Amino acid sequence: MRFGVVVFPGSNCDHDCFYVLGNVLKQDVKYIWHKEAEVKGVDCIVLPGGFSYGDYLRTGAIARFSPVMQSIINFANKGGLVIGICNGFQILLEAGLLPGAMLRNKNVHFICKHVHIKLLNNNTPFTNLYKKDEVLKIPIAHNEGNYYINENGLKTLKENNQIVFQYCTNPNGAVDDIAGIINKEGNVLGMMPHPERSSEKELGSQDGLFIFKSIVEWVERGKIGHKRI
Amino acid sequence: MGIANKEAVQIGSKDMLKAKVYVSLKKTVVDPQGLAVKNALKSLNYEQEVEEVRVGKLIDIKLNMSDREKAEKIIDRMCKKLLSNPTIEEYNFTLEKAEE
Repeated sequence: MRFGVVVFPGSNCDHDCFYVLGNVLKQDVKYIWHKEAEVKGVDCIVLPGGFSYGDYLRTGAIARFSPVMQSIINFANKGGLVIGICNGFQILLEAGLLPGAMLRNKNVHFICKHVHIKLLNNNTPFTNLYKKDEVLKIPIAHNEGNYYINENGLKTLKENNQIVFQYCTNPNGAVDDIAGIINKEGNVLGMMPHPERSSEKELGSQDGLFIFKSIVEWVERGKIGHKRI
Repeated sequence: MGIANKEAVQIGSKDMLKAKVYVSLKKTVVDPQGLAVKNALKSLNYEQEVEEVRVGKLIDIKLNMSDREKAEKIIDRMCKKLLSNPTIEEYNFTLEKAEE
């Protein structure tokens, strides 16, 4: 299978994702520049962390309108796998591919540390190699990770089992301790923690690696009749 | 937009409009920045005077058009599409003549 890592001006986890997918997991991976209007030959899109377009206006707000996004939105709407990490999650929210929005962290600080998150849903293309309720140690690094959704929205998330990760100890004020969610259709995941920074023993945790391994596993099993762009 | 640009050439820039767009978090959404500013004001001994602080954004847009009705529609669309996030924010704007 082939991954595509999108590079926006200001992305800074693109190389980390590329490295984990290519060097650690030995998968085929290519960069996709944000100006590419047509994205082709990819099975899974990774929107990496960083500060796309300087996070001006709102995090992800400007990246959401970059040329590459329309083709990613179309890909996602057709069932293609898309994972947004940190800033990538914020972009997915702005693009309307996931519900809710991000607010400044409750303590108004940039938080960069390892956290523990609980896995609530292992029946997804991104988490199928974990056990349900497994606790993972994965770092966060963000200023706007205070996930907000209104009560009705939260109810819908719960009813559809869309809350994939919850913080064990809430670091940023996020509603219902939410660290990551998936869309109703189950092909678009957004998460604030950085699995690419916890994919090798040397970095203190390998818990994140299984996110990417799960994707490979899922695609290779051909479970959702997934589509290539 | 094409028509608006023509107008700009004919009328001259003194009749052009300027929009002031105010974007703020909805009342139902907690504003961590506002709270931090409130606490800072408290530490400056303004506790008695300050009830609540909300931090928002002011966006100035100089327009190439003088037709108020059209400008209102266009700015409203800009607010919905990009300038605000309707999930957490609300907006309002005023239009005035751009000063030279």
